[in-house]
Amino acid sequence: MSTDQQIAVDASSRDPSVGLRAVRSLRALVERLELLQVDNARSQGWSWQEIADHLDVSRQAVHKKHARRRQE
Amino acid sequence: MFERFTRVARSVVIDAQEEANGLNAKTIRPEHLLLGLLAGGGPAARTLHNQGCAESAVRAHASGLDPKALQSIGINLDQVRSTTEAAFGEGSLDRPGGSRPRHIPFAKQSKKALELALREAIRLQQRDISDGHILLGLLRSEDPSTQRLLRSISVDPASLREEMEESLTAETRPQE
Repeated sequence: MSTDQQIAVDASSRDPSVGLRAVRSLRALVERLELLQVDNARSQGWSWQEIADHLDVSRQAVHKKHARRRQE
Repeated sequence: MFERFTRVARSVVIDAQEEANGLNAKTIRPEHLLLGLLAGGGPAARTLHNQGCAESAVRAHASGLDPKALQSIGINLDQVRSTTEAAFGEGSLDRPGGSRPRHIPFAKQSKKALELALREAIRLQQRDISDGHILLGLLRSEDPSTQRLLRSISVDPASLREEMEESLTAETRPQE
């Protein structure tokens, strides 16, 4: 980690507004990566069950979240 | 009601829909209208810039992806973006749902803002609804999430409203 980054972390590690925003951003990032990875898996012929197993969620959950968006 | 919108005001609404689409949102929310206003390049965009409302800050808020916040926990968003784009193509991280245009409904708060834009035009005795009236409508609606957004990027809603109204009334004489 660069000095600049270390300073940023030191300065912000106890500031709730920075920490909470980081959590929110991380969540948004995860959502996007999930869309990309699920789309990629489907386009490579993976079943909803296989995708669900890898994400460690139920098949229903992953289907409900992504199938309609993908118009499947 | 859209028949009374100026050309810029219409483009604001269209841009807002595209923004919502790109951000994979379920509805067109006030922050998407704000991004549309900033992209419109009209008097509202100028006023927003004057008041320190930067597009990048609104975008970070609207998308929930704040590069500075991620940096604070050691995640470099640019790096994530470039590795993602290397695998899935350009713009993949920012338009993860593909760029197929979907028809997205207006959120309740956005509908209210557009209705209030009409009221603001009437109040200022102006015939057409411009981007400036949309901004006034957005502020008049006092939607809590919009207020929070503006506060978080250090924009004062009251002085924003004041400057927008001044600019609208300076440009046109009230019509008889």
